Amino acid sequence: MFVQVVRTELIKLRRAPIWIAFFALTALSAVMGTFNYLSNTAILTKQWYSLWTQHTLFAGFFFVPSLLGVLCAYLWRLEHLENNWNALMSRPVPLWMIFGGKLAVAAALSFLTQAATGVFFLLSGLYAGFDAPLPPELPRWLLMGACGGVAVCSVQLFLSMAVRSFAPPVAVALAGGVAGLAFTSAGLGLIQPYALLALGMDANGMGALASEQYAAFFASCAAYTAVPWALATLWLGRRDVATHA
Amino acid sequence: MRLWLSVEWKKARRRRLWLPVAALVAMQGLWLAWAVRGMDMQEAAQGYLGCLYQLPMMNAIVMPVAAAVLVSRLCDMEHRGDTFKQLFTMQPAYGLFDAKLVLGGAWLLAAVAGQLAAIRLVGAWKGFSDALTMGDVLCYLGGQFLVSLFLALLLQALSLRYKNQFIPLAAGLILGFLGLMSMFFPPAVMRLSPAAYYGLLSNVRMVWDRDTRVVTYFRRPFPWDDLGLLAAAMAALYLWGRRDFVNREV
Repeated sequence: MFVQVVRTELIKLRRAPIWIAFFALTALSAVMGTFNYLSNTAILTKQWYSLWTQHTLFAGFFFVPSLLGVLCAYLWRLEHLENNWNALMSRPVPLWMIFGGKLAVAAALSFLTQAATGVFFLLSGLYAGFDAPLPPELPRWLLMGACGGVAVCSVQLFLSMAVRSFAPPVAVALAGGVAGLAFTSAGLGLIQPYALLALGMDANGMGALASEQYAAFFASCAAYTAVPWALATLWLGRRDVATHA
Repeated sequence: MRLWLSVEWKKARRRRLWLPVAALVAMQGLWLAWAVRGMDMQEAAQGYLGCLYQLPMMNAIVMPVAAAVLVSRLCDMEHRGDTFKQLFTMQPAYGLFDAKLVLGGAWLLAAVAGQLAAIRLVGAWKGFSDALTMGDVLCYLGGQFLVSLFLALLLQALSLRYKNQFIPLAAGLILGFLGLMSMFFPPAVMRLSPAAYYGLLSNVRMVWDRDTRVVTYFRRPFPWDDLGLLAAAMAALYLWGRRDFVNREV
């Protein structure tokens, strides 16, 4: 049944221009990051590693979490409009699956964004003509970045479900990203959900996570994914399905 | 116009438009306080200039999103209620467009004024010893507000055009990203990105000495040429956006 729920969510997104925004942000980040790198090769001397920070620093901390926030707001907006809450809640689907279906779609986009980041990074490195081999950490950066993105999606989906308004949760995502930078600087990035994406990607290129911290990172991602999911299931079971015109 | 504004004000009641503005100013104030927490006497001697340099960079990231949130809150209520048909029997479409722009602009002006208040508070707390002159205040207020108004105009045109509010909010994020990234490029490239005007219209610049690792801030004459460019773009966008809205089928 869960597969059917996810398929239903995908049908709701048909022809929605969401992927364009994710593709545009990733492509712009790669193009501008690469040109900035090529203009500063006297200072940025670590080839692939320097290029990686140029591609991911700002996008990882501020813009990808916020864009995931816009996506999550959009996924719930469909239910907030008209009488869709009534229709949604009257379906013979367990409550945890309603939230889980949306989370699966958002998580898939988080993974796809990371895959696109990896492809653009590879192409940019080839364009720059690096002679060094690709960083062996690249698959880990992308995987951990995607997992951090899933945690952001879960928190944002809960907010967008509860707030029932499109724009405010997006502002929370951006504020969370800014706060995440401060938490990371203070060495507390693992306890702040919006910092996890950039931390996992090592977006500031300073080896933010030691190998013995990987378990704590994945535990934090799992907690920030599971707790909003559980809260949302409780919330859906207790709240009235009052709809907004 | 007063009547249309009054109607917009009443429609926006209880929509808590003050909340994103207050949250934005509080976040930027906290960020400034965090950035200057370890400042020594020598750095405090150019504390205000430092804040006036750094906050426009921060604005390039957050103000496009804040403007998108405000504008979307103002315009989405008409989409959700499908009120355009009814409204246009009582007020001209351009009146609705202008009133929403003025109201959104007023909240953004409040945000920029709040940023100046935050700079003053942080300065008093850390004992900045340089002067925050009336010229600095006017340059900051005028420059940062006009860029915000331009972004609000652009995002309002999108927000009214498309029922799907994903588009203006995603556009706000991408504008912020372009604004921030273009600040690492020469001014000719920056001029192509609306949010980069936060930096272009700042009257404070800095030089960084690589050997001593000392940052020195200095004032420069207000960039009237960049302001002229922005004003011309704003006039063209206003004419297009209003015409597009007035001529649409409701």
